[in-house]
Amino acid sequence: MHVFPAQLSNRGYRRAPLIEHLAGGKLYSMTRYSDAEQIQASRDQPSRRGFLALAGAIVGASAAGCTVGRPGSTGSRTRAPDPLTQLLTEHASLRDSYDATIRAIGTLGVRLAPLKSNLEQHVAALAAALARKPPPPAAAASVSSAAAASSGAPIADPVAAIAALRAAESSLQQKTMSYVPNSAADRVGLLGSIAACHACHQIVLQ
Amino acid sequence: MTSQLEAMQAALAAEHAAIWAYGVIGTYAAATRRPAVSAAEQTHRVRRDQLETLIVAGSAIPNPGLAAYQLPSPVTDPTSAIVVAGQIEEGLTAVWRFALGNCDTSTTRVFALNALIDSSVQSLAWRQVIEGNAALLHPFPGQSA
Repeated sequence: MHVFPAQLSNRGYRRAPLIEHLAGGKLYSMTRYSDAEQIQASRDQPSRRGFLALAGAIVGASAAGCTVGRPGSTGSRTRAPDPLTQLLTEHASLRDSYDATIRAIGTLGVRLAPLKSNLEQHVAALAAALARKPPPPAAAASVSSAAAASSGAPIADPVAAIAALRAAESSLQQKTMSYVPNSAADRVGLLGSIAACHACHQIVLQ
Repeated sequence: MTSQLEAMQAALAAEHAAIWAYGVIGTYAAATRRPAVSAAEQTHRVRRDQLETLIVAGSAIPNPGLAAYQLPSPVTDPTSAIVVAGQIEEGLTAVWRFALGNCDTSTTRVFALNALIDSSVQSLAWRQVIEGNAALLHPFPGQSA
């Protein structure tokens, strides 16, 4: 949080765009920058008091994981990751598990292909939901790197493989459900549908 | 923007209709299916009662059910009875997904979420009776196309 005023002092030229951001409602209600810190910032640069109070609020909101700031702006690098990023990574990981199982046991391909396809759609939908809010810089990388992380013991026994996928579906259903009470309203329906899909997958993995 | 109360009343109307439909379905279902039909109907009766309690807790009066409803397709024999059961549950997934998107408390969101999951699973179970392994697995149950 204490990333200014040095950082701010060279951002005076950004004044107009920053105000546009604020006026555009992109601060939401997540500005948690404390008054005391704003006042201290103002004292450090008294001649810019008004502007610093405004810019300080924006930087504070960015540091608190808010969605302010355009890609590449200095403030966005300090933003905490969107919690949905973790859920996206875990869906990509389960998709990769389906892929690995199908490659290891070809006879399961017909049965598992529709489930893998659904996971691919979950990954795409979660990535799109993240993109509607500015995504953290690492989001894309973590999705593609999940494949390496998910490789484990060799898959040989079809019964054990199906059981492992069913357990993973159950775990991810619970994880997805846990996001519902506290997520933004525009994400809740998607999360509910994905959780319901995981429940259905467990039925066909009996 | 639909209010939470409006979404809950809409879901209640759909649950009333489902309970009525299961009455018809139970009449035509094969004897071997009747326990499953009764269990599904009971699930909806319990959910209707809980929903009415939630609506009353929100200082509103739950809308009553109607005397009769139009089924999504005719029920004339055991097979068509199960087909309609699948359609009813699938319709409820859309209703509950919509309700979920309009719930603004943790309690109502969890309630709608569980209803969405239950209806998705039950819809798949009925469709599997008819279609076996060919039953479609929707990636986003309840989401309009």
